[in-house]
Amino acid sequence: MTDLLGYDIHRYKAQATLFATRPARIGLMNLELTGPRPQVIQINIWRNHSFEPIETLIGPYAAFGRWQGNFKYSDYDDSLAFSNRLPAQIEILWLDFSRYHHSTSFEPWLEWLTGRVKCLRGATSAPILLVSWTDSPVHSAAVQAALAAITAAFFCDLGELCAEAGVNLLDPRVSQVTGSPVGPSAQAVIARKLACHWIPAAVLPPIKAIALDLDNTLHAGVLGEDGVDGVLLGPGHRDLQNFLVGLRQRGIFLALVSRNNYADVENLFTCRGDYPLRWADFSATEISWGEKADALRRVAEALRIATDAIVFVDDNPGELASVAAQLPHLHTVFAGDDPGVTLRALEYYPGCWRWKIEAADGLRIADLEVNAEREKLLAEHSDLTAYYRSLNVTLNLRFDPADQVSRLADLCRKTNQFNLALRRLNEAELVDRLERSDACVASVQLSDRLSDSGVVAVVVGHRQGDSLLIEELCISCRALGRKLEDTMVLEAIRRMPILAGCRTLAFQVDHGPRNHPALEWLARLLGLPDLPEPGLYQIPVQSFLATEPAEGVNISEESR
Amino acid sequence: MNQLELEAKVLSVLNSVLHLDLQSGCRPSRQDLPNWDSLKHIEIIFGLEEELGLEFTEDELAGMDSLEKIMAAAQGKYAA
Repeated sequence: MTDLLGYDIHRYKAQATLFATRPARIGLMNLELTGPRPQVIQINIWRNHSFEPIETLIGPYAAFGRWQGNFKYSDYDDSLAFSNRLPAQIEILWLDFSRYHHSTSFEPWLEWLTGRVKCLRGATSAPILLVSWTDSPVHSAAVQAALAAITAAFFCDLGELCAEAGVNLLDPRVSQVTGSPVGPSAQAVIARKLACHWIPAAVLPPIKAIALDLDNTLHAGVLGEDGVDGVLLGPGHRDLQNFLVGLRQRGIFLALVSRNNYADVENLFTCRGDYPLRWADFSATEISWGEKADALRRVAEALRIATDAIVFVDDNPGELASVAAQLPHLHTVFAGDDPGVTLRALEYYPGCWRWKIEAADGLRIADLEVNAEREKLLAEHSDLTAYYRSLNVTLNLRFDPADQVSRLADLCRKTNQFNLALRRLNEAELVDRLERSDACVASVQLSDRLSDSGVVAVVVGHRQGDSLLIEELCISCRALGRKLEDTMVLEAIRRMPILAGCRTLAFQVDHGPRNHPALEWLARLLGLPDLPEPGLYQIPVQSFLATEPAEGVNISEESR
Repeated sequence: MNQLELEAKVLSVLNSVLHLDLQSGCRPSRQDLPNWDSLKHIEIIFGLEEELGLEFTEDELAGMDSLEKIMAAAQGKYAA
């Protein structure tokens, strides 16, 4: 406990160094942040110039984000032979563009490079990051387009990154000594971007909510002492609030967790027209004098997410450490004297940045806001059929939807509660399944007259002889509580073309820390007295198809 | 910056990059420290540039392979 507290406090102090406008090399190297039980990520580095100085600087950022890279280096190899490849969770191509630029023109090089990335894609389903640069924005756009056409392959444009950061990417002095032309300031910027954005967005679960303390976090001063007009909104706190508004627009929930009087806080947001954040921007509010850990548990419940998807921001390091001790999976950020550092700590918090903003991300907040009305209607209607009809509940099913792969991979990665097999199929694995004739990927979109919940379920089936193996089955927690699980699963499986001729259905089951809802659902379906242990559970197809879909639900299927 | 302050800063950079505990008065060189390889060398130079607010030339980079040579190069820059 004492060690953990010490680590947390050390971590909060390190924020000023980690999230300085321009990170300083020696300051980063002196941090020595080593937390308990970091998530280890296996990373293959395919390179034609040195990556080691970047790895050194990635370390403290990864430690702050509670992960640790296990880097496996290739030899220096311009040809990208990918020899002696070991399994990894992420493949990084660290290429010095200038080594090719001198000997070949751009178009043939891009064609060759695309071929090499496709070759690697064929050998692994892990995300591939091409970390390099070109000699012009036009050429960078061409690389971007070529990579976008390959599943789970991303171009990390160092030219664009360094231009935005205002540092020189290349330093002609150093090539001869280091074998890499990447300059010193660029190295720190690249390390932070890789450690906080590019790598986590490819392999770590996303952050879904930011829970914020109020006093000396969103403004300077104490509301209870300084009053509504006495608390200060300087430029730094204004920027922070604007940044949070932007996160909300990207589908990240905001919650307010403050020790104050409820009416005072509500009044503050009503009266202070200069605050970019409005009271309605908070999807959950916990204003009381009680324990913050308890308040955060209630926030998670209200938002239907786990505490490990929340970053809690507070100006009291002791409070943060205490909450972290009670909720060890919760993420914490210290709001120090400089709100600019707090902003950057959130901006760079692993899991806050995403490669792509999905349509479903924008739907999440509006969908939750109308949940109270749904629950009221459910309580008012004695039978479910009338409830579904009153809401005009509609399920739209699609099979092998190539354009939804990114969202479906997100569902596999994010869903913790109704996730039966916990296979966590990634984009490349899903593409493999939807291209195979003996497999099928079904998606379910849910909407009603109150909101469009977007794609909320994915079911992946794999034909094995006269059995259909359900190797992945996930329903978003947003769709739970509406008693639609049976209908979604039944219709998704019943309509799979590969079900024809099957005699049995086999459900793959695994246990996770929070997937009881899925296990309870299967136990009920199969009439098991206890929750199923990990393994395969079979049911005759005829028995499964005897399940009745919910009456009053509109079900449609988009043509393939 | 006087001689002692400069020595302290250089030793601090060497300690950070090479994970050592070199004290004032010692005279470390690349020849004597096996982990001072070419990659660590450039990290040392980058760290020194940042900490001392200097920029060394390409010709100077490879030659700064001991505390004494580093200090001489830095003092030359400050004097110029």
